[in-house]
Amino acid sequence: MSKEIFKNKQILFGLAVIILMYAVAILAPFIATHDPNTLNLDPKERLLPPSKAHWLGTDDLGRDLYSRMVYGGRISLSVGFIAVLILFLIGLVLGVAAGYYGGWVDTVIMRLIEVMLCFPSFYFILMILAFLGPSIFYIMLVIGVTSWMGLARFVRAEFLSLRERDFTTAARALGASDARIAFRHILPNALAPVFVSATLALGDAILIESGLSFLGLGVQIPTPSWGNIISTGRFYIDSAWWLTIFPGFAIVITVLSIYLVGEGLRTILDPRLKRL
Amino acid sequence: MKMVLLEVKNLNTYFFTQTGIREAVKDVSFSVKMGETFGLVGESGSGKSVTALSILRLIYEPGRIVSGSILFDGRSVLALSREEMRGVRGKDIAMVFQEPLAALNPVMTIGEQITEQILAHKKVSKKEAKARAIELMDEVRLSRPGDIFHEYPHRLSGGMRQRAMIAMALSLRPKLLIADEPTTALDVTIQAEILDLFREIKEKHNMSILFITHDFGIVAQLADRVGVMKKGTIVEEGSVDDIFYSPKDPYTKELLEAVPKIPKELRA
Repeated sequence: MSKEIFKNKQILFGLAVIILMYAVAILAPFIATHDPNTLNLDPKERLLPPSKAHWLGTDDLGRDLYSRMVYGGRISLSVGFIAVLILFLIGLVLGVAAGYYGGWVDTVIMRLIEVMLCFPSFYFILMILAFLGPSIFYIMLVIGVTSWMGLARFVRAEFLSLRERDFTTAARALGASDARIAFRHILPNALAPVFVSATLALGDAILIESGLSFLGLGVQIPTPSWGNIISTGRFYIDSAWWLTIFPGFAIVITVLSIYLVGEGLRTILDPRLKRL
Repeated sequence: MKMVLLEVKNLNTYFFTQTGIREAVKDVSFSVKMGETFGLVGESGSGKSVTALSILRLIYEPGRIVSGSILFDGRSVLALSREEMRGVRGKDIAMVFQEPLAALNPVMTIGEQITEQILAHKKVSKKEAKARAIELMDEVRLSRPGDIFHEYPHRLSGGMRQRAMIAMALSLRPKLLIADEPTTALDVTIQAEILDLFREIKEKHNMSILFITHDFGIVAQLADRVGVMKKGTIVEEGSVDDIFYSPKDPYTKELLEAVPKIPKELRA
């Protein structure tokens, strides 16, 4: 399988972009050319188009857009990453419980999933954040807590079939405990499709964060995030196109790359999707 | 007189399906003595495997052990708590399955699986468990245990997989080994090797074996006593000689006649 991954151009391209994005985010202090929050209200420094001094231009308050985007990537990508971590944990535990034990545990968890799926998730998140007030911590938490259902269903489905397999019976016949069977024997067999689902969730989480920041319920100004840079940039869209185009491009290329990797992995894992 | 290790009395295991009750095991009684090999013979669907799984209490919905008693080493298996039962599985009674490729975990190496089995029951360090695993692999004649330790099941031959399965089953020195058609998926030469292995470990550890098979040839080679099963009941039980030379039940006679015979002129 690892061979197939390294032959798949879709995955390689996606991975390269994602790694580049995360590298930029981690190395932000060394890569940024200016301080992202230093205002420069001199009219001559405001809304400058891309130039040698300001690679991507400056915004309405004279801040260097390139540096703001580098730091903004930090926020957007870490929100995505932590949110996925949270949804991964919730989805995994509930999915394992539902799939392994079945019966009333399964019924309760499945009904909970259905109830959660009834809410249009973005508006649900908006509503919760409107109550809690916007903070990066809440955004990560709320995205995680509202988007674990797909992954839980995935894990459950895998477990339903894997728990009937002979090696599960064999492990049980040789005295392995429930926890050992679920996490040491079955889970490693279920991980591949679960990772695909988590990858796709990462793209979704970054998109949701950008959307929230754009609407002003996400990351708050002056802390930069791709979403809120676009949000302020939209007032100048006819005179200073760079304020919306560059962060928009960053979001698109990042999310697209993540989806490419997820889709690529899915194709490799699902023999039915393989081209003959 | 040898001590009785396992005594199954009037065991009834039924499956309550939507289309009716299936009586998979009906009023089955037999016993396995210390250091003895008991062969359970019968055609497919005669209830051999369900009997074995009942002894380990591995019958799940819609199946249920309806009545009967199972005494192991003086303890009533059916009265044990879940946790006590877990302790019995693997440690006192271990089981080897028919299809080793399906019974081994595809994403764990052979070594990991044997080590895991030891760690599930004993509080030993990983290093000790690994050393023990290598020892066990050596005991079941897996060549180059150091290399095989890091191999995945699909990379091994059928015989090697079954040896690995046996190593796992032996890891805690169980008193009773249940072998459910362990050689059916193997070709004849490997079959003979695995049977030799069973004989050897039985002698070495004075273990009892409950050997389930549909092959009378294997029973003749390995078992001390035999029970013949048909449609969920044991129709005849006796020593190997009794069953082979003076079968009483018509079904046993039929089964024995069904064993292909080599014509005289072809024999060496």
